This record gives sequence, structure tokens and C-alpha cells, in this order.
Amino acid sequence: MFANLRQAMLWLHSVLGLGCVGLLFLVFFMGSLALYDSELDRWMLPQTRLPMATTELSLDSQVLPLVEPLIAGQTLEQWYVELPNSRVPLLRLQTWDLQGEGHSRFIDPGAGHLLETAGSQGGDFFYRFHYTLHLQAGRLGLLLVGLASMIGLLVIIAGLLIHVRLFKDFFSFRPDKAPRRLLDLHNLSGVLALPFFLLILLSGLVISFPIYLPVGILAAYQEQAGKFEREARDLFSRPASGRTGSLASLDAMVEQARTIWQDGEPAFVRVWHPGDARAYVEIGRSLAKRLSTDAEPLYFDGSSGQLLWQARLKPAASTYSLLAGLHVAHFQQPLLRALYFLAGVGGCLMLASGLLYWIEKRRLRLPAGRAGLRSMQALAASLITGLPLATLSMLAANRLLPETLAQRADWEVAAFCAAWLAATLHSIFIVYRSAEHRAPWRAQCGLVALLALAAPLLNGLSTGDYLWRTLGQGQWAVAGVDGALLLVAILAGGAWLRLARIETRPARLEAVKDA
Amino acid sequence: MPKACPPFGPLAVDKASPCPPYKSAPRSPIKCQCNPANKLALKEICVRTAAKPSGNNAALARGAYLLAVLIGSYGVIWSLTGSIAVALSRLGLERSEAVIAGTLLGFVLYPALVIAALAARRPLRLWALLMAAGVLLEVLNRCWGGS
Repeated sequence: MFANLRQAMLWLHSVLGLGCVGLLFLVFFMGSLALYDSELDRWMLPQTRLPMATTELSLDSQVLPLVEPLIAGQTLEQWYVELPNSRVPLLRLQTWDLQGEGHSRFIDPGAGHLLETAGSQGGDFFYRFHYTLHLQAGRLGLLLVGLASMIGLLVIIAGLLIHVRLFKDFFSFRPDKAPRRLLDLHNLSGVLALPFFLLILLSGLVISFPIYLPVGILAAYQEQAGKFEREARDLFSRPASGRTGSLASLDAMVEQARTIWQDGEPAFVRVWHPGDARAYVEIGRSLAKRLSTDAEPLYFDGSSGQLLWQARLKPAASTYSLLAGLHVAHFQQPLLRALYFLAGVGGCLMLASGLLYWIEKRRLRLPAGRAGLRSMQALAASLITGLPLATLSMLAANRLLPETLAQRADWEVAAFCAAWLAATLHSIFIVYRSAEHRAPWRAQCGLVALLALAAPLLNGLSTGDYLWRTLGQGQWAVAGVDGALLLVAILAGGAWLRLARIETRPARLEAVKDA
Repeated sequence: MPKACPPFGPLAVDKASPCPPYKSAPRSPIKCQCNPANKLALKEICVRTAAKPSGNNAALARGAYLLAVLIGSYGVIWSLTGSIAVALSRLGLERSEAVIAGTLLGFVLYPALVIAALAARRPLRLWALLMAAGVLLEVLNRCWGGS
């Protein structure tokens, strides 16, 4: 079927790569943004821009008095509170009723009151979009992302096998040759963060393995598949008794947990069957200083405060937790997080340059106006400039929509979708109208620059937190998002100016031959 | 004189035979003139498109084979993962550990299997073997699974 391995891999790389480039670009783009979800929370929810608490937090005197009136009169399965950390200055409270319906709120630990944050989804939107694609129907989004990840893995392996003999291809960049420089950029960005791509694709698949490859659970557990998670994670549970009971001091349990973990800090406290005589408290360890997601949860008896159970992971489960932790990046190392972000952006660069190289090469060799070529040109524009455009529109809408608007969070998502649709339609219209291939780029780059400039300005106008003020006050999250927006504005503005200067040149002979 | 058909990307026809220029070219020369800056490119376009029909069939066959490989490999990995999990738990590993170990292996073996199937010299023999093994393992899983 193929002359040799290289031919087969070249074919596989381009066919599967073109098939999945759209989905993978979306996932890489949203995943990069999701790395800074807490910072985006601060930017999009100005009421959560609080100073870091300096005093020790007391669960008994500061948190319980807020939670108790909220849950009074209801029978809950559990309530859960996430403690502040170096990226999040507030508490997140979640309550889950017996039907599995969850409700999430923020608590200001300093002032001791609940914060109203229903007006925006904040960074959570990007976090969820990263793996669900905002497709609520069933698990369609999750399945699509899984399929795209596995195909991405195949494409990367095929790409490596293409170059297995030509290692010098990896380390040369020839910016003077028109389509060739795109290929060089594709190879460079692909190789630079290669371990990251392999790891992130594989761990992303492994995290959701009960969805993607449930056969192991089905074969080993047969009808008891529900038991798998409890056994794998060594969890503790016991049913409620139906009698009412009281809760012992949570602070004392936290203190006990600290001594058991030696130098560990608590990250969350979860109360199961609150108000019941057989209530129990789960306390998880902070992941700030570790890569794995293993929280080493401890279980305490609700009424007596005595230790009931200490979860310990076995080797395979620890490996799974490490892989999951490397993907979800719950650690709090600013430098490592920045490297993750750069590698994620590098992934977008690799996908974009690969797609553009394919387009450029065919544009030079084939007569213009082929349907396949044109649809790929429209796809490229709707991804590379359309997606940033949609994200920036969402951020601008976040600052422009009135706070009193009903279902404000949904309107923000609508702004995202509408802007993306408009950008896609614009690129389709331009690509089909003119043979001049740069056409959709310039207008969209200009708009990206304008929106990226407008967003920090709108933030300053609506909250008073201009960049100089947030920098002065040490609000690094808000200042960082503003700074990143300004950087995007400079880059997009530069591209806009550059695209204006470049006139369309006829295809050069050497360019055609070299590609 | 047009040279031998240049290999056009990954879809190149392997035999480099000189193609008769313009013979049954589906794209008329008028369309080719949209790119008049380059005479050689023009020729290459028309020579290449002339050799298109056989290329199209080959591409279709390859696409069908790829789809079969992607789905078939999943089937084989499905049975293999299940039997690794069952075998490990029979050997005394805890059930949950056996499941995770088998599944991690499955995720690594899937891409390897797809690549091997595409690079195979005799794909039919490979697939006959894999399918037989897959069915056998699946039967064993059904009979010996659970604990």
C-alpha cells in the first residue's frame, strides 16, 4: 500500500493532522487559558479582588456560622469548602443535595460574608470548554476531545517517524523562504515542546479512561463497576443513620491532619451527611508543592472528631495520580505554570503553522479556488484569529454588560459564540470572494488589537483598577491579565501593520520547488 | 519537456513515469493561467492533474484502510486491555491496580498498533492474526473475568 515507512507516515501525518487540527487547536488554546483560570476569575469577577488574608483562618468561628444558615432545613449529601491559597484569596463553598445537584458560592474570609458571583462564569468557562467544548449534549464534547487527543498522539508519532533520519530538519530555521519557513516553524515548535505534547495528550486521555477505555473496569468488576473508584482511590464511606447529631470542632481536626501529614497544609474540608449522627469529615492535603493529585485524604468522625481512615494509594493508582497531576497543574509554581502556558501556546503555533504550510504549498501548486483549499483557508482564519477574537469579545462583554442583567453569565457565553460565528462567516466570505489569500487576516488582526486594547481600558473604567493602580497595589492576577492583553494588542497590531505593507507577490519559482 | 511527475506531498504516486502533458487534464489550461508567473509551475500543475484519477482511487483505498485500522486497533486493544486486567488480578494484584495498569498499557499500545498496521508489509496477514487474537482474548475475558 505504501512504498516505505516514510511515505506512509507522511500520508498519515497530513490526513489525520488536517482532520483534527480544528479540535486540537481549540483544546490547546482553551487549555492554555485554563492554566490561569484563577487569575481570569479575579479579572472577570471584580468583587473577588480581595487582599490575601494575613491571619490564620478559623473554620469554626468564620466558616461554620456562614454555612449553617445556608443549609438549615435541607438534607444534604455533603458540603465542601476549598480553603484560600496563594492564587485564590477566598473560600469556595459547594453544597450537594441528595439528588446530586451542586451549588457553588464564594466566601470572603476577611469580612465573613458570601459574595454574589452569579454574573459571570469567570475562568471556569475556559477550564470547562477545554475538555467539554461547551457541548452539553451527553458526553459528546468529552468524546470528541478524547478522539482528537488520540489522533493528535498518532500524528505526533508519525511526524517523528518522518524525520527519524533527518535530524537536522529539527534544528534549522530558514525565515527567508516563503512556504519553507512555515515548515521550519512547524518542525521547530513541534520539537521544542515535544515531551510536553506527548505527555499532555497521553495524560489527558488517561484522566478520563473510564469514558474512553472502560474495558478493564468492565472485565475485572463485571456488575460492580461502581466499586472501582472507591477501591482505586482507597476512599472511605458510610451511610447516614437518619438520627441528628452535632459536629465536633473542625479546627481541631485540621490540626490533627497537619500533624499526620508532617509539613502538609489542608486544601479542602468536606462534611459528609451534615447534621447526621454518622456524619464524617474528609480533609484533603494541599497540592501546592506536589505534582501528583494525590490529596492523601483523612477521614474523621463528625461527632467525636476521631480519625477514622487514612487513604493510601497503591503503586498503579499513584502513577495515575501523577499523570493526572501533570495534566491538571494544580501545583503552585509560577515558573512551571508559565512554562506550561508557553508550551500550550507553542502547541497552537505548531498546529497553526502546520495548517498554513499545507495551505501555502497547495496554493502555490494548484489552481486557486479549489473547494478543499478554500475551506481550509477559512478554517485557519476562524481558528487563528477567530478564537482570540471570540475570547476578547467575551472579556469585553464581561466588563460592558450591566451587573443587574438577568442571566448575565449566559450573555457572556453568547457574546463568545456570536463573535466566533461572525469571525468564521467573515473569513468564509473573504476567502470565497477573493483569491488574495491574506484578506481575512488583516481585518481580524486589527480587530483583535482593538479589542485587546479596549479590554484593559474597560476594566479600568468599570472598576477603577487601571494597570498602574493594580501594579502599585500588588494585585498581580489582575495586572497580569491586563499586561497579557496589552501584549496581545501589540502583537496583533504589529501583524496588522505588517500585513498592510506586504503586497501579494506572484509565486516564485524557487519557492515552489523548495516546498 | 516535462520531467517525471514530482512527488506531490504524501499522496505521490510511487512509480515516477513521465505523464503525457494535458492528456485528459480535468483542469482546463485557462484555469492554470491564474498563475502565469511561473511557466514550470504551470506545466507541473497540468502534468500532475493529468495523473489524478488513479491517485484518487488509491487515496480512497488508503482512507478506507486507515479507518479500518483505527477502529480495528481499538477493538484489539479493548480485548487486550480487558485480558491484561483480568490476568493481573488472577495473578494476585488487587482489582483496581490491575485495571489501572492494564488501561495505562492499552493507551500506550494503541498508537503503536496503528503505526505498525500502517507500516506492515503484509497487512492482511497481520490483521488476520490480530483479529483471531482479539476474539480469543475477548472469549477468555467473558469466561474468566470478574473475581
